[in-house]
Amino acid sequence: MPNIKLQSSDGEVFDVDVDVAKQSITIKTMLEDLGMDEDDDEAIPLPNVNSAILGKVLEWCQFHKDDPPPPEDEENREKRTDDLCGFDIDFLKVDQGTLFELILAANYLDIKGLLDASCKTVANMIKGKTPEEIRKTFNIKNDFTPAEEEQVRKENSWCEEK
Amino acid sequence: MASLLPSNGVLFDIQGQAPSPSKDFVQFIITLKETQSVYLDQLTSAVWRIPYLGWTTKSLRITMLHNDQTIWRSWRITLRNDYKRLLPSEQKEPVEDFAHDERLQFDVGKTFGDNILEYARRLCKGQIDYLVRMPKPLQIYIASFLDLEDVAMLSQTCKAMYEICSAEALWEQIFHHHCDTVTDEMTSLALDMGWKQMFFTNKLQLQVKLRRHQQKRTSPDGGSTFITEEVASNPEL
Amino acid sequence: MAEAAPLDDGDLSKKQAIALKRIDQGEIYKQEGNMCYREKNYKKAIGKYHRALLQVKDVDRQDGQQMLKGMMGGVSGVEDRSCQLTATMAERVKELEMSCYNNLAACLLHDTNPNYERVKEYCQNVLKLDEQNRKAWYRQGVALYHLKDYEEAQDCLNRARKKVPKDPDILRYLNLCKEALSKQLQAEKHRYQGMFQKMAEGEEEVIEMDDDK
Repeated sequence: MPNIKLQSSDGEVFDVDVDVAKQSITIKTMLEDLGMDEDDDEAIPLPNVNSAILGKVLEWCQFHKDDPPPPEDEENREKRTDDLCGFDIDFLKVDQGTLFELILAANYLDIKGLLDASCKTVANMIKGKTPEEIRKTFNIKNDFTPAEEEQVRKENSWCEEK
Repeated sequence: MASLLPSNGVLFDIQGQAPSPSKDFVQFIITLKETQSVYLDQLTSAVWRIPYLGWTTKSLRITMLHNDQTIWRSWRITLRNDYKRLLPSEQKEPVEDFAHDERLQFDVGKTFGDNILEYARRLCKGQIDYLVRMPKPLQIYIASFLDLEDVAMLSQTCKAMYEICSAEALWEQIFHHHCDTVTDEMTSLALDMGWKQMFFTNKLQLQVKLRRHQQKRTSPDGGSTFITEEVASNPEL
Repeated sequence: MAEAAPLDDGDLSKKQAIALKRIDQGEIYKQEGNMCYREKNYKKAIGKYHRALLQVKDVDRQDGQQMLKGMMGGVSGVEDRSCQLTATMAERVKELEMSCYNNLAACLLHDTNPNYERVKEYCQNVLKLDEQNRKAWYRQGVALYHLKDYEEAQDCLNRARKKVPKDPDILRYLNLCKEALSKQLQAEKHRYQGMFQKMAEGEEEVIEMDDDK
């Protein structure tokens, strides 16, 4: 199986199986344009991803390399967050810094599966919480004046249980 | 996690004036890295930004927290003398000490309020507000996985999240998920009134709005005559 | 109480310095790509152009927008946060992306069995940034011709021709489109003729049946 070399922003080079790297649509497109068989020895620099994150991303790609491609009909699909596979749940049990960096990397490399899994994990951290609990979870600084806060609360009163 | 964090290490930077009677000008900065040279420049510019120079005596305090130390600077300025000659004094302590430094916590709370104090406490414990620092399109994408109730809760946390939770791109999706069919007319109406607004319009009103919108689009005079008729015949709306 | 923006001036300039380095590197890759192209080493050029694009992708962290717009079914609503690039830098990124996509399309057309869908996609990327781009209109026209969308192809080629009315390549493809379209028309005529004939025969039968009554 041919390999390609991916280089992180801090200069580390990862020798990656083409089938693993192809989870990234960005890389896949490039390889298709090159005609696949091309064995380019020059590393591909990915200046938006550091080595720690790139290592994690490739670990995810390795596990998911035999997954079927995601379904096309995006728009009317119900957005569930309770459908993460066991691997993803464990894989994404990381500190918030890593989790959000993974989202950025998945977006940069266009890896839909990882982007969705990591965004769902963040969504699950928000779900079922009060505004104050959400603030605590993500250290969000409340910058509303008391009057504004009351206004926003009123605006959203439709969802309060009566 | 370098790339989500500002590269000069400044996590938080706030300026204000302490409440009476001190009226000190205060700048409170929390940083992750040692970047002192920047601060001397900032210090100078901060002095020029003070809007209260009509007062006889002012003091300027700069507080900085580093990953391994806290820097406390104060600068006394008097208008009558040449204040430029007075240099700031400096005091350093480890960042972990913020949790125990009741004096500093008291000052921060008094000047900037309890919300800021709470935020600063968590920052110093290493709990960084990554969610708020994410690019907007990704914040919206995350919000698109939430249920309606959770969107409502998230929007009440801060101004930035309120904006995200009101984004048209988000509500267009929500609309599509909750309504069986979205006709071309509805899409066109949404461009006029906004998806969020449309989502909260009840079905009966929506029908009326759709009809008016259609007439507006088909009649050459912009449909003004139709609208008056419509309103006249539907006094209850 | 005035709260300073979380990203102050000092930070911005440092971030900009990193962005600047990436833009510089991207331009170097592009130039290397152009050299490979001149040496007719198209594969190598493709690799270089893609590397150039990866340098400037998300360089201001706002690029996610495009991808997300696709995911969320289009329509605005997602605004930019204050861009971290200076106007000059943003302009350089735009220029770089335009020429890389344009040159990638050119490289792909040199393939023995070109991926015309991809050529079309890259040309569209260019035209999104510059609606007047003659080369992109021409290459998109060529791709569409091979994808057998002759009318659209003609439209693109005519747009390209506006700038250079006598370009032989454009004229050649316009002629090819014309031929293909008239052939299509002939084939359709033939088919309809057959149908009319059948209908006519059917009618006669009906008439005969009427006569029987």
